[in-house]
Amino acid sequence: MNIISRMKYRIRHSFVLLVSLAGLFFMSSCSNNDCPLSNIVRCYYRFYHSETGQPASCPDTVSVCIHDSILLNKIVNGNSFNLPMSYSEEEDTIHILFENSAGRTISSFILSHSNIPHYESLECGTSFFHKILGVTLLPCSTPSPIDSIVISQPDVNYNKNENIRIYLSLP
Amino acid sequence: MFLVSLHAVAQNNVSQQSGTRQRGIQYVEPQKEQKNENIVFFQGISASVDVAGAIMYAIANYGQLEGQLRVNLKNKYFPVFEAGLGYSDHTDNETELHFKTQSPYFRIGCDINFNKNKTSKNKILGGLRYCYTACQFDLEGNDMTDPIWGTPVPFRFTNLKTNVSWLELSIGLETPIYKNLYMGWSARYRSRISQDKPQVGEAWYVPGFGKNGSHNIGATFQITFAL
Repeated sequence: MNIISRMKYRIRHSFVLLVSLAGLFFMSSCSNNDCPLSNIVRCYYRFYHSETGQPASCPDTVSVCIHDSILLNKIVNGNSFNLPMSYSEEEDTIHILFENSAGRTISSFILSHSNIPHYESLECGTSFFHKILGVTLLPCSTPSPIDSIVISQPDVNYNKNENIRIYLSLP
Repeated sequence: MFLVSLHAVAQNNVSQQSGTRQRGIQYVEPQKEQKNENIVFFQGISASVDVAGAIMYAIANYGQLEGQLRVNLKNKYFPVFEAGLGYSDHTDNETELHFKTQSPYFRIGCDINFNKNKTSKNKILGGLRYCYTACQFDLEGNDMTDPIWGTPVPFRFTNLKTNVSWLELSIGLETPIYKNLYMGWSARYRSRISQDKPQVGEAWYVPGFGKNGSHNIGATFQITFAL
């Protein structure tokens, strides 16, 4: 076999290598998308009975606002709610308005948190996670139904887990 | 099983020693193959470049420029050192998130030639490598809106650091094309073993590894020159 025919044989053989390599490239170019089904980040609150420690529904009509923006309006017999958290500020002041036949009471507390920018992948977009650092119940001029507030899960992310327990003084 | 190699010479042979002509079929002893044990231990060093990565570097959103130094021991063991520069500059069409990196990476390992005929220049290579990169990347997205205050919040980060190490399992072929020039390809299965990522998230592309994940499949196409 002379040099030219040997080169032709090797080029043909190399072509086979190239084709098989192209197949490998197609395999490696396949990718899967691991974006979360829900990319909403909220802080989840739940009412509890202060004496029994069990989840409870609030008999009063509840409205919730952060700073001066009303986010939840007149929830009747609710046992939980969720709120967004600020991306830029590290303290959110939350006011809960309790209304019943006897009158109205506003209870306020400050939620201290850190803000963690987050992305899963370029295809999934951006979001902010939070870590709750503390809750400070503000003094109220009238008797408040809120007995205490406890952080149950400080990490606020895509998981819809309970983060804050609000213990109510219920009859 | 006893195999006998017969070379029938059905023509007249003249014995130069005796000066007499012998007729009939002559049995010639088969040439003994050169035994693999007679191969010299140090066979030389070769250098190669990855053509596939260079093409991707030129035309795609990511790629790498990679070179390799390889020692040939008895045509069976090939300790290898690879180094490269990985690059990515990609913006997602839907989210408009932009990722950019340009960082070096290193691999060290050994290939084994599984071709039984060690005197042949064709190689069937299988190998293992340890790989590492200390990568810096930029991440930039559109401003987000604060859900409480309604103000814009920038999402822009530069020089985020991440250290990634992984293992590679490699199989491939290599064949000579002209004198000391060889051509070959390898398929690689990569398994990430450690990652030190920034708080915002892991790098979308890791130089030398490819698109980030717990594992990855890739390939190389090399031109090798035996020095």
